[in-house]
Amino acid sequence: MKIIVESSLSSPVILSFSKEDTLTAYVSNGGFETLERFLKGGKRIEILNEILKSGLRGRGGAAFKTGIKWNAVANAKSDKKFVVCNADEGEPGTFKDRWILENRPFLIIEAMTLCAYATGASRGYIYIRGEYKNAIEVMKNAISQAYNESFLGQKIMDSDFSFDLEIRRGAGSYVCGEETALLESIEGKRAQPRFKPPFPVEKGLWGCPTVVNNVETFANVISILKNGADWFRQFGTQDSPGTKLFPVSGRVKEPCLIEANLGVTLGRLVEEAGGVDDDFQCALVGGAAGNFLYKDELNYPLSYETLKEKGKVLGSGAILVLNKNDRREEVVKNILEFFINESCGKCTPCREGYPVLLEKFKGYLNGSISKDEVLRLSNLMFKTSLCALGQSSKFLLESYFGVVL
Amino acid sequence: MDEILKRYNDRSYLIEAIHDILDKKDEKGLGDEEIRKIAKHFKTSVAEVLGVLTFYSMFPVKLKVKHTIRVCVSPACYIKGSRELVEFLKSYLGCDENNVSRDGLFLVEEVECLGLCDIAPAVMIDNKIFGNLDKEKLKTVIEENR
Repeated sequence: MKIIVESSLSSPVILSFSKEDTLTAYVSNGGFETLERFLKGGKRIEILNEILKSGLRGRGGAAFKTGIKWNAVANAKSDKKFVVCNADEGEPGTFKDRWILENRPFLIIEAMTLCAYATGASRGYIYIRGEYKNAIEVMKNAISQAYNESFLGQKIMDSDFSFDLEIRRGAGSYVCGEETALLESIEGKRAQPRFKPPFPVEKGLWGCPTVVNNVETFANVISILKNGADWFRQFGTQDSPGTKLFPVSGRVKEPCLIEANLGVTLGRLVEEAGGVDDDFQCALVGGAAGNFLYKDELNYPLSYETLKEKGKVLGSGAILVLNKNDRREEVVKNILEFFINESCGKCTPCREGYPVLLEKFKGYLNGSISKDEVLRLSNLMFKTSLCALGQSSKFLLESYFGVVL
Repeated sequence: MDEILKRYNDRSYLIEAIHDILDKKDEKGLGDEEIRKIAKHFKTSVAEVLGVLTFYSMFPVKLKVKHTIRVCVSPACYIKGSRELVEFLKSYLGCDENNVSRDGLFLVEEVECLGLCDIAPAVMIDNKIFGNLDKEKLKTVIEENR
């Protein structure tokens, strides 16, 4: 996979051009120093405060503040607590977490261990989608190396802290990216989302307080704790601090993974990926749960808050570029079929809604149904579905029709 | 299979155990007797095991084939012609209505995003990844992985 650091970024926070898949390589780059510092005298509250101050937001798509999650679990009273890494990367167009898992597995292990230390958890799970065979192998190896050298397990580095970490494989279900569905799957069940609230920070795995963070979110933790929240805030924008990984694919000359400041423009990212193959039409940003951005938005900053102002979303940060010959409506149909296939069937609006929505959209294309009728249904599904899967078509369709209701 | 089940005692390992059992089998799919055995091991019902098996698309239900070809049909691969690849595969392999090849070796599955968008259009044959495909390249890959 080709990786690029966007030119305005002096050095990357997450990407690295040397492979760090052995413990020796990781430790020689300063790996596990941060864990050691905290286990030998650092305070839990310092970790919690620093992550909160950094303003780090969840990189899976929902952009919830990581510090708030960690604090909630730290403050929860329970004998058992868990830390879960969501590595079920299934959002179409997204391949950033795969790179992190395959190239910097120890970064995730160290971050999860520190999270467990800070929140009082004793066990962690990395839930990796079953299709990522290589990432699973690399991570499995990394975990066993970490156990051998006492970076995981009982009394880590001769401290009083113990933490066990294991991998759970997914088995081809997009909805597992939804945090409560993922928890169901770790428990060995059909991955149907739970009602929220209670949120996982209160009742997560087996009813215990649980932190669930995306791979890329964890990948930021060590550098924040090493360099401080203020250092982290020099990247990105006021409300979306830090850098972001943008997987760029579709009609660009060189599909690649780019790290850039949050607030970078779509145009910059497309340029970094070698420019458009033929004429730019639009980009699907954020995958199936995302939306279209057009030519007039090429210079608009991509951050969580700037897109929200427009009624749009950044989601996973995936950028799928379409050129003038691609048919946007075919992509919409493809995504609606995707949602039909991936709906877990638990709630009616999503299960029954998507097939009807696809028919209505086809009706719109042949002129028998108005766009308002299509939008009305997707809006209804947005308001009534149990999880984000049933709510997602709203952004896609509003951006397709170019309106915000 | 007994060896694998012995490694997993907690009910939460059901999905892990099914993965391992399927990985070890030459022919993909689980029979009634095997499903009953798994249910008994995890002290749960056959319905629970079937429920899990049918929920996850990576688990085949009773189809006996040697190789599974997973063709990604999500947007990044779709705009680069993955539907044509599916049609080509089905006719090249002479697939029946269950998408099993005439010789019974392959199952052709249309799957959602494999996270291989940088090398679209992409397929997985069992555990191996192939990208930047066209019909000719795909044909070669199939013959090499028969």
